[in-house]
Amino acid sequence: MIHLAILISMVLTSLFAAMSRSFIYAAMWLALLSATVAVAMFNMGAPWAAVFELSVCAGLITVLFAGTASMLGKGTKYAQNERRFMKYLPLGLLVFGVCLWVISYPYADLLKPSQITQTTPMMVGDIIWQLRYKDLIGQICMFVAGVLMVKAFFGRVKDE
Amino acid sequence: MNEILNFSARFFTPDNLYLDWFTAVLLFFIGVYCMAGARNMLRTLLGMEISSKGCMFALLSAGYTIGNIDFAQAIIMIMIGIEVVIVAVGLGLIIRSYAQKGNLDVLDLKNLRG
Repeated sequence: MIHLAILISMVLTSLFAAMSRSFIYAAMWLALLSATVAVAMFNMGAPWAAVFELSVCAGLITVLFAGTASMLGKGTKYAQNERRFMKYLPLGLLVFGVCLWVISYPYADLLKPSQITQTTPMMVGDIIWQLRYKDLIGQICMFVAGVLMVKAFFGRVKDE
Repeated sequence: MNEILNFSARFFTPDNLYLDWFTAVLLFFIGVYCMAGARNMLRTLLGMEISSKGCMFALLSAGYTIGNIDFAQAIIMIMIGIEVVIVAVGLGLIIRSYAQKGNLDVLDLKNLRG
């Protein structure tokens, strides 16, 4: 039942994050969503990913969103006609959820894994450094590209 | 009563991949709806964040179900790192756009229209 409570709170927090009138509150709901996902990760036996999720997504990204929202002030308000579209989100979610359940539930057994993979036990660090090192290189390239892009956006313009 | 309790004990556990998959798809729908419906660029980025949570949860659930949670953890950690870069660059773009245009309406971005 704990797992069900986690799943329901994930859907509710994301709904509130999408529908919040104030963007600061939306950032807070997003942080709560990240915290809930982190709890789900702990519950399913993934503590390292949960710590990352909690510190980076619930912490850093929330600070970035909240800082940007406070810098922009009035810019975070809804544009014209945007609010009207967003207020139908719960109804759309309900219709989509019911349709999805009706259509997909008969095929739920297909989701069961045909075989449980019993690979040689490896630590998370070993998997990252040995098996997925190309992903790490790509991630470092993305970090460098991101830093260069932010520097290009906010670089000092020389007086001519 | 016992049948209901047995059903709930079996259905609402982390072992039930269908429920996790259903929740992940709902999260993805909320994010896509937010991206499609919002004209404010910040909310578009917020929608992308919500969708990525759905993808992350689907990955985690799949790893848990097939008994390879460590591999899923490794992928999720890399995914989180990339997500931070995307958010930082996206927010930088939004701030620059606001400084030039004075608003965040995506419909006002018509400079490159041919």
